[in-house]
Amino acid sequence: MFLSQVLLTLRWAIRDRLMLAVLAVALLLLLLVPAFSLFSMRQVQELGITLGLSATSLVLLVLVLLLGASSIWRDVERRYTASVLTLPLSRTAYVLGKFVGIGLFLFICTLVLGLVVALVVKLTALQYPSELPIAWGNIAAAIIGDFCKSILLLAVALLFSSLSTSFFLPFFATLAIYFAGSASQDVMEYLVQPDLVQISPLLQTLAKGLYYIVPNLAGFNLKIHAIYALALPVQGLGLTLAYFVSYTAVMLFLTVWIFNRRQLP
Amino acid sequence: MSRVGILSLLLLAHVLAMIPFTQHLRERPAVIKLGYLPSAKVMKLAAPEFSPLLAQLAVTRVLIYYGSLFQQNPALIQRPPEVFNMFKTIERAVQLDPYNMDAYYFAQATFTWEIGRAKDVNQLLKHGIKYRVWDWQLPYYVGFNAAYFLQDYATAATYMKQAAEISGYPFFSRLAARYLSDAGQTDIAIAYLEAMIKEAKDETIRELYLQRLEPLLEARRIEPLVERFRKEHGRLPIDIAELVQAKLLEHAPNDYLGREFVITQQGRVVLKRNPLPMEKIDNQ
Repeated sequence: MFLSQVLLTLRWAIRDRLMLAVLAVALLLLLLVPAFSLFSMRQVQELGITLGLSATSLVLLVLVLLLGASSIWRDVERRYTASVLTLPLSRTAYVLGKFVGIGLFLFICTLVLGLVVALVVKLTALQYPSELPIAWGNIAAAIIGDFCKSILLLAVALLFSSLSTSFFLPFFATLAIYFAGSASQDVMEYLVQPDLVQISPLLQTLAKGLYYIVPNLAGFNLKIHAIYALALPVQGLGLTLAYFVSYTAVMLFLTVWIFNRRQLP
Repeated sequence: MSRVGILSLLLLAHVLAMIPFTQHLRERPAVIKLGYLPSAKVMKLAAPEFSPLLAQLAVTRVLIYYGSLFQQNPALIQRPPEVFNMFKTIERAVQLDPYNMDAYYFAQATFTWEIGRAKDVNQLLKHGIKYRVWDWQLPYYVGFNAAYFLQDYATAATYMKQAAEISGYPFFSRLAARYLSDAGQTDIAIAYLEAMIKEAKDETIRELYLQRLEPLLEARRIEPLVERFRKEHGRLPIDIAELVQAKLLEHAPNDYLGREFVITQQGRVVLKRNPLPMEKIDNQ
């Protein structure tokens, strides 16, 4: 039953024609990036990688927001859960099936976009070769980092979706968490400066507390490493992976817990 | 009225509105065209994973703005409007992405020669050297600026040595040795410009360098005549006109912007510079 739930969710995402939108973006990337890269004076290849990776990040973020924010609450409101949960499918399996199904869809999209980015990078590099080599491993790591970040945000979106009765709370709350999570590391580094005097200790404590609660997305951003072929921080990647697994697991646990306690119509 | 008729009327109305609208956009003041870029800190906080993209967009916007000015009137390179805003935009771009080579390259190409901000450009380039540790071009630019514009030969030699170490080209080591003295500055500048012209991909930047090369070639032609005058008269000529009077030159040349050549106390022939005062740029 769990597998059926996964496949059902995957089909739902595909039926929403989101894959078509992703393919349209991929086609646009193929057509526009090699042309736009020529705007650069000295780093055509680097600009090609920048545009490709930025577009991948943006598409994955939009997909997470749309799919994650409109999943569980919609099923509840449309009474879909009322019928599906009468089958031998636990609420836990339902939530996890949703998560894996959307995650699988995001994986397929990442794969499609990743292949297009690789093609686009090769094309731009052929136009005006850079002094830097194309660090394919780093580009792959940056795309995997984006994928992991999307999965983590998906877990956050499902958490909000499990306690919401409309689209707006999960959508805007996930978006806010994305912005806060992207900036939290910089804010923390600003707060720990020794010469910082103008911020009250209470506010500092509050910000530090939020830093540990909000997902820290800085570690997933490997774009600079991919664009300029910089050495990847191997130990840091391991720690980021561990952080990703633990945070996602906590979010999923909370989602399942809330959904199990929710009164369904 | 038929649907086609209504659609035709609407399209006509749209075209009539579009023509003055696009005209209005083209004629916007430069400050609005270049726009205002928020602080790099704010942009980094708002969209850290898009920092390299935002940096590149900022550089491209400045390049397009500068290119359009240069195409309209090449004389504007001496005193382009919005110099301060352009430099600030480039500065913010390197704060967003300290690896962005386009930003350093553009700063080096535009803010040094006529605008006379070699010191500020070198600050920017030194920031880039900390990040682009594999790149010999940034120390090469710093070395050139230090020697040619700032007459700081010790700094020039240091950075040329760094460029030599990174690139492995002995050419930079030889330059480092030459930068320890004031000798052959015109030849060094010509070699620098010829190399930049060869590498330039952007047409505006290439044109810019070509126009700078022309007066230097002229200076190289005149410098031996200055030396000949010195040997014949036991002193340097006061100005170019004295070379013409001595029948060593047919006429006093000017560069493409009508600027005159002058003779320095070391016997070098250089363009008479009218640098934009710093405070004037800063107050823009």
